[in-house]
Amino acid sequence: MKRIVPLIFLMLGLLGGSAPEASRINATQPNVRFAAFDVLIDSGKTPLAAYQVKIVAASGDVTLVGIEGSDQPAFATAPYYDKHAILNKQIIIAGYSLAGSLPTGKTRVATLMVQIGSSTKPDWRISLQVAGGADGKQIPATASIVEHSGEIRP
Amino acid sequence: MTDDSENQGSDDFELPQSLRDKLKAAHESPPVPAELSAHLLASAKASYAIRLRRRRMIRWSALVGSAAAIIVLSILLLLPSHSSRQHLAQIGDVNRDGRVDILDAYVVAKAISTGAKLDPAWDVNHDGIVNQKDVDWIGAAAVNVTGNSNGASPQ
Repeated sequence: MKRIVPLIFLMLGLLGGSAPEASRINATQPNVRFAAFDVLIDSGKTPLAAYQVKIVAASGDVTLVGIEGSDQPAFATAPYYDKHAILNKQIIIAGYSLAGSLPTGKTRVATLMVQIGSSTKPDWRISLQVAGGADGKQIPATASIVEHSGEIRP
Repeated sequence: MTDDSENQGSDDFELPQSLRDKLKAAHESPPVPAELSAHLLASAKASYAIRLRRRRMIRWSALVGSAAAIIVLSILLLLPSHSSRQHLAQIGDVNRDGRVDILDAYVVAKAISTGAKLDPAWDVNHDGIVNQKDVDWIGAAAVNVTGNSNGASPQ
């Protein structure tokens, strides 16, 4: 018993010492912030049923940490993406909608959650690989990416 | 004593004649008839020829076997890549535009949702039915950038 008591104190001391260490690690990363970016597809007057875009973080200390669907009901489901590429600087995302009412014009189709490691603004390159209408045929459209404004859904 | 010392010093040491005769008689080989000698030589030659032929045959079969193994290996190495390229080009390219993208997934998804006739070729995961799993398979193939199969998050 006399031997166990000092051991318990020693373990408690070690545990007590490691907790402030962990919080110090987080505190010493000053410039890390999280941000959300919206992926927009503009299909003009043609209803958008499907899209596929390639997104590359051309510069900036950016790490993709998650991808969500849009607040637009037709594209509310999270898109397809390669989960092995989530920590890479480039990714392809794609989605389709079977909704009866398809969106036209500029549509927010997905939101990228990113971790930005420096104060520099990330430079995105987005290219539309394909956009499709309700008949499954390719339609003309453009893709863009903008920093999310407004509340991010949990 | 004197004879022994003389014999030890000289090179032309000779055995006694009687001993020499006995030794010769003991080791004298019987005369071999010429026919038997010829027969033995012929059979030895034949046996050697057979062994030589067998050795050559083994060497050739080893060579032929190695060549065949190399050819088979080359075919096995080249054929899957060729067929997998064909496989990738065909499987999932539902609208036959030469590539697998989200429009292929959309075509299948829409056909399933509307109850339209489903092409058995759309059973891309080969589970015997065309369903959402096939749509997800095509969607995953469309967004695959790392080469890992089934790495895509399903929609």
